Amino acid sequence: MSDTTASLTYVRDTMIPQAAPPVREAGVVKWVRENLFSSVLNMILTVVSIYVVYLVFMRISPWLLNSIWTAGTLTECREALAVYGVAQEVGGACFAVIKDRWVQFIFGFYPADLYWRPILAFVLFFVALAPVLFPKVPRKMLAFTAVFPFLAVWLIWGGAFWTPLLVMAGFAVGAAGFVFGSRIGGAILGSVAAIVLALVWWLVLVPMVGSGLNTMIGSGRMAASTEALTVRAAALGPAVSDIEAQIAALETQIADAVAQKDGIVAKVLAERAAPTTDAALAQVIGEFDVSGDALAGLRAQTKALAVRLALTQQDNTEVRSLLSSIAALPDLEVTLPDLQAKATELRAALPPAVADFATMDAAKDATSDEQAALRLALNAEGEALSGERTIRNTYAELGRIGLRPVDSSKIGGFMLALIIGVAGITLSLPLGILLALGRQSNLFIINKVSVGFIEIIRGVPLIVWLFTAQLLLNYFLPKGTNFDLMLRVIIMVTLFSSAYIAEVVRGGLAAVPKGQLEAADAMGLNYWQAMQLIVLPQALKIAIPGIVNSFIGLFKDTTLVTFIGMYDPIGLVGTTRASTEWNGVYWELYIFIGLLFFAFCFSMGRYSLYLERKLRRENR
Amino acid sequence: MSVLTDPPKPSFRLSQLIYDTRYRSLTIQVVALALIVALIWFLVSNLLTNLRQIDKDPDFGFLWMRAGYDINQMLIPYDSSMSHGMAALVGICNTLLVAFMGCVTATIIGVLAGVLRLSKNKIVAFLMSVYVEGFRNVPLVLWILLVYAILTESTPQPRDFAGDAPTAFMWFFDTVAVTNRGVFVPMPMFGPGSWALLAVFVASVIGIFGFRAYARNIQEATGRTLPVLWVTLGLLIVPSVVAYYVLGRPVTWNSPVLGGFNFDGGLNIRNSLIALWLALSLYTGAFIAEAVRAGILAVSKGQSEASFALGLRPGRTMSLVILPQALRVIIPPLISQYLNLTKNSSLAIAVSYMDVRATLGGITINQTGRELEGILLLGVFYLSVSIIISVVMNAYNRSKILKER
Repeated sequence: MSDTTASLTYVRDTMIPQAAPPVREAGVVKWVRENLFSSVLNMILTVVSIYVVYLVFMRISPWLLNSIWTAGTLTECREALAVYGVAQEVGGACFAVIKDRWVQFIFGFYPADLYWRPILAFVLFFVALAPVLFPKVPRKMLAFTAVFPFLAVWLIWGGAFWTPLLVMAGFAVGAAGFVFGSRIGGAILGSVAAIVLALVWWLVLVPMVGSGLNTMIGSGRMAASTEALTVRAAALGPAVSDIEAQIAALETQIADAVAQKDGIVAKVLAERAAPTTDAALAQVIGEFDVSGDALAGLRAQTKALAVRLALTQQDNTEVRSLLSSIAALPDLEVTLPDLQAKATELRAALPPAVADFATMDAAKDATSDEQAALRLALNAEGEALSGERTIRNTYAELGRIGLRPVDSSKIGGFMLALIIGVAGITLSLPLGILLALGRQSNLFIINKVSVGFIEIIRGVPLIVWLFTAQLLLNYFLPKGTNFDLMLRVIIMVTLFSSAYIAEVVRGGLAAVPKGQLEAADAMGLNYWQAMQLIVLPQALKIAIPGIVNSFIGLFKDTTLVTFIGMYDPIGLVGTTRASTEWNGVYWELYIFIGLLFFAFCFSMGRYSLYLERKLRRENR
Repeated sequence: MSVLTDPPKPSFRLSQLIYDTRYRSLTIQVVALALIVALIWFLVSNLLTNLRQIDKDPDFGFLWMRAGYDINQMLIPYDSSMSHGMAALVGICNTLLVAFMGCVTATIIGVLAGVLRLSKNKIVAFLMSVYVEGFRNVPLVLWILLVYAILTESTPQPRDFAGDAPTAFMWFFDTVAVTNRGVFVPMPMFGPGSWALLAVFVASVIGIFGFRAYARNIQEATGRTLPVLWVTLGLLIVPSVVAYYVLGRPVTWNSPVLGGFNFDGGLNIRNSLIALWLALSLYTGAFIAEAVRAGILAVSKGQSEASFALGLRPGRTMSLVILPQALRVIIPPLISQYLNLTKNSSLAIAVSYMDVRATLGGITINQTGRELEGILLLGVFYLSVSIIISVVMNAYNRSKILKER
């Protein structure tokens, strides 16, 4: 036998080292081949999109790169562009306008010394939101969430500290009414009693208690306040003229600086027209930069002073008018009943043709005698009303313990958009849930009313509802009710978004299996218990992404208030462009507003997507 | 012996209205109705009292009064001597025009962007994501204003077309002028014989549909395919062109001509209309793209794999297998986007396009002081348009849903 094993060595005991894949089948090349050039159509798409991106980039990037950030006016911006040698057809962005005006775009015309109030409210908003969003936060925090809306309103609008407390007490009154009413006549009477008692509390008792407290505290403090106010009034006048003098001094400095800068600009332009050396050009441009910075510094000082001046002037007028109202107060209090009696008498004595009219315009077809009588009556009524108002306002001013009130018309910018958006969505949630339950209900009338409300609201554009709020809402309320535009807008926006929320919640309700409700019924739970404990927790969880999306939509829609004369960011573009400094600027402002909205809405949208994925994982 | 007695008849007691579930729902409804009626009565009586006090009792007579204002863009003949009602009608036509144009363009843009966003081509997919997210997350008003600014600021003035060395030129063989005062396009002038031409065109369109049905029948019966595309194109163009020349060119074009400081003749499509239309289409298109994407993703992957296994090419897979199935998911959100677009057309206010909000709900209200009536009519108009769109689209949706057992 021969040994054959020696020749059978072709069995390999080590592997050949792996060869690199062919170039076309690996790495970037493979990715590009498969994703960008897999077919003729794909190739065309790739080339076209790269070309489009190239075109857009080439058009926009020089404009962005040449942007000017330090300038006081649009003219100075263009001057600076010329100094830096930017060709006219390329141009450059003038972001200086944003540097100059961004505070206004955030806060509107809110008093500058009170910015801490909305900022604090904004920060607390997240504290209040935390227990709602994150289950790990202690449940006790929900109490703060419940209090927050009242706190925020008080912080932003100011006023006496007892107003939010009294309004909150209304809920306690309603709850008491419910308990008491249900003991007598079941849940139905309880609900009716709760609504009626709470409404009576808010509409009648709160104003009465508020003005009573004002009068009590105010008359107690009158002597001391008058003294303090007199001292302040004496100090404020000189303070105003002092600031005015400082501003005037700065203005002359600015004029000098502008003249100096103009000289440098002329030098630079001359240098550009007939260039000598690069170093010379660089030197004059350096001079220009220095003068621009100096000017910006001076302007910043002036601006700060101007803000102080406005505040001091406002203080001055307010203190003086308060002093004069206090002086007139005793007389007015004595004569007011006479004024009111006279007004009633004149109104009663009016000829029947004009007896109902509240304006002179309404009586344009009446005889001259009738018109004269109406005019007398209207004047008397106006006098009585203004007397009443003066007394009330003076006491409110004297007897207030709390924050300085801020008028709604001063609120603007993104703050306005946020307030309307957040208030609208928060208030519309309960209403929307009720409407969704109503739409699902078997009760014929409730079902039809809910469906009708939802469809009418959703069928008409928001802008028409906003015009309704602006022009018509006061007609639907008792005579003399006149609350401010912002509150009317919030009411309308709430009604509007509640219809959309109702549809979102209805989707959530439809997604809860029917067996859940049947099981609840079998357990002997009544309707509200079943809804509250079994159905709504599941339905709302499913509806959360939809609710967030409604909020995004509503936040974007708040820009429409600009058409009824409120100063949201887009409205402020108009104000900015109407000023002499920035007349003619628009791209920069639109980009700024657009980016802010984008950042906000995009992150909210991502959050809602994340929630959606998380819910899908949890429900699996 | 047993005594039979009737079970005691329950007598109705008042407390049953509250505690007995058989009657309670009735009580609840009556109470709710009473509260609602009380609320409505409160609002309406306040309204009537308040209106009486300023001598503005509800009255729709203003609709027949002379309007006295001009409208710069109109589809139906109108001048300032006509009534407010007529002005409202012009506004309604303008609203419907921009809404219709917007819906068509938005659908095209949306379907393209939605399909391309799922493309394997990463650059295109990324660009489409940028488009969709950019438009969805910025308020529509801002887009309208931006498009309007682009149209008015970066297009040439009419005087740039004039002179020996013009800096701007007309498009399409000197027939279309894009200026900062709007786009000037040729206007068709219908001479005698236009009706015959129109009839020929309508007949050829009917012929196209007939041929397509015939081709489908042939294909289903024998498997033979007819050249549908070429015959369709031929039928669309040839008879009309032949008739046009046979009838002696009944339709002529009135092209815009530069005269003085502006273009004369032709049809002036104002920038406000174009800006509103473009912005609405792009904005709604982004939302439609999302709906289309979701619809396509909802079709299971096995469908496209099966279609590839059958040997269909990607384009045909998309049009024959995936899109018809995705359509069922897409149509409901599409309806609500059409409704949104129609309602959003009221943002014409941002660029002063003369839609119904601007005529009936704007100038007419300001001139006559009839806020209540004007806004009421405006609301009724939008509500009825919304209802019509949703009824029509829901019927279409019903025709498309899967017929199950």
